[in-house]
Amino acid sequence: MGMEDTSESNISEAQSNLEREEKQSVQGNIAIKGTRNGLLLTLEPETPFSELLNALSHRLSEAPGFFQGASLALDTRRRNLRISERTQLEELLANYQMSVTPLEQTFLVKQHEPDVISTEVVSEPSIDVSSEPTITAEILSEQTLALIGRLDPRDSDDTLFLRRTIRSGQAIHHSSNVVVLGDVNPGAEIVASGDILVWGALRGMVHAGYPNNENALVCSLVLAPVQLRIANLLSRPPDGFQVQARPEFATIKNGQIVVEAWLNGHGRTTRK
Amino acid sequence: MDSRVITITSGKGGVGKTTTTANLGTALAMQGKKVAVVDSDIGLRNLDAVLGLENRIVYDLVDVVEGQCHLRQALIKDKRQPELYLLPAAQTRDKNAINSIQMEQLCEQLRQDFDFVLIDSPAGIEQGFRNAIVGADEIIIVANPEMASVRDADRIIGLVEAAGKPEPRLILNRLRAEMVKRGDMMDVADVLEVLGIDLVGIVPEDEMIIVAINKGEPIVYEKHSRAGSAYLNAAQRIIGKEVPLEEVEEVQSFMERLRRMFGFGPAMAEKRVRS
Repeated sequence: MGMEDTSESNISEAQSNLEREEKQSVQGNIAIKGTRNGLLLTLEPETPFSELLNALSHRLSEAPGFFQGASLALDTRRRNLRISERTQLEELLANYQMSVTPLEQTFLVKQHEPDVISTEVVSEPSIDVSSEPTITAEILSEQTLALIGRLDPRDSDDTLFLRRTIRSGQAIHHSSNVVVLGDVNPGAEIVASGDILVWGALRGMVHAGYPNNENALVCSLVLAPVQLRIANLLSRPPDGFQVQARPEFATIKNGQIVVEAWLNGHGRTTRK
Repeated sequence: MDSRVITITSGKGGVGKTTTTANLGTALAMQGKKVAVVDSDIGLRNLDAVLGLENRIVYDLVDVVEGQCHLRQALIKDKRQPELYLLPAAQTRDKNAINSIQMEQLCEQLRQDFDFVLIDSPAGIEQGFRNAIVGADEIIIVANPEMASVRDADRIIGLVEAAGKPEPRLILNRLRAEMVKRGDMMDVADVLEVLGIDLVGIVPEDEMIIVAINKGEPIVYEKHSRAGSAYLNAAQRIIGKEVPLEEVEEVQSFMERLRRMFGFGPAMAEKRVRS
């Protein structure tokens, strides 16, 4: 039991005490650590990915309540994932309404909370295979900041492709684009730093370009969101709004969210 | 034995889970199946009353799980159907009185003796709900054709899938044909468009159900009740027989179609029952 019952409080304790209070669980070559920055997933480099995925699935199913909705940082220093592997991982985590933040992203976010920044977080050995030199947070965040300064967040990470209906209560948070082949139902939530494409009906809440990418776009075959956000703007359908049964897209124009029909020529959205 | 454990759930309360469980259980028993209906709504039990069996309860589900009695002692034989049994919920305890592992074991135990085990789930998405689905092979979701119920049903579908269960099926309950006709109520196609799951039955709103519940007699015994025959048909479909879905409304006139197009009613949906 141990972790299931106590980790949540332990993590908050760790956060408040800024102690080396750390919970670790190693099982089948995966490690999920509760750090003060949230959960950190480490994958053993030698093991086949399918085994790691199974182990993780097993681990999550043991305490679904605890992991529900959590954001998991992936420690890519020892093992990086292929795009297909990454997608499988995201799919699994989505079952628990969990999302993956790349390690850099975690540190980026922490820039806003200076007191949480610490070299300790990355340099702490997570599993015993540690022998190679570790990167410090300073270097990492510097690099990332430089990257972000130059690049659109849409380029910085893999697009998340979801081939299913996103239902009420499910939240997808992703650091790049999100494509859904299916519907997004009322009560569901997608937050992406890049574009959001829904090949289906969009009836839930979506936030593209989170937190401040005004070039982001939302498009859908049936655009009927409860609420639509792009960057720091928010819009909702006016009262008495009639859903158009045709593809539409939403972008920011002149400081406003504008919805237009996706037509040949007119709807062509060359990327800004 | 080839037995099936089916959980009837909804998320939202008051949509007709218990009525559905009682009637499907009775209808399946009328088909000659050996059926156990289990009330997992610990602390708020009702299935016993709907079946008219409340005065026969000696032991309950929690007693079985805690080993106070044998399963056989807690099972109550129905008044009319010799092959229908009820396992009542405890009324003086709460949902945390049992855990998922115990519930799963209980389902396995019931599986030995019955063709069908129907579990009446409590409302909500907490421990009680999780207990109700943990041992199930199949899930049936009961929803009413209104927004709150459909959204909750959608939430439940997501949770059921996350729990690794097969895609649930739907019983659309309390449909009012005249309201649908006026465009004041979501119709079958509207609901299916959001939920995207298969239908097992469409049950019309029926005043006789309230009378039947008060009497403790499932509506399936009422020959003239439309709701009763809808449940009988749903039971047939569960067994695997091909029964056409209830015709709940006429195809719209041209004028009505036009009216809806110009915004006097819910937009978009095609007005026919998907089969």
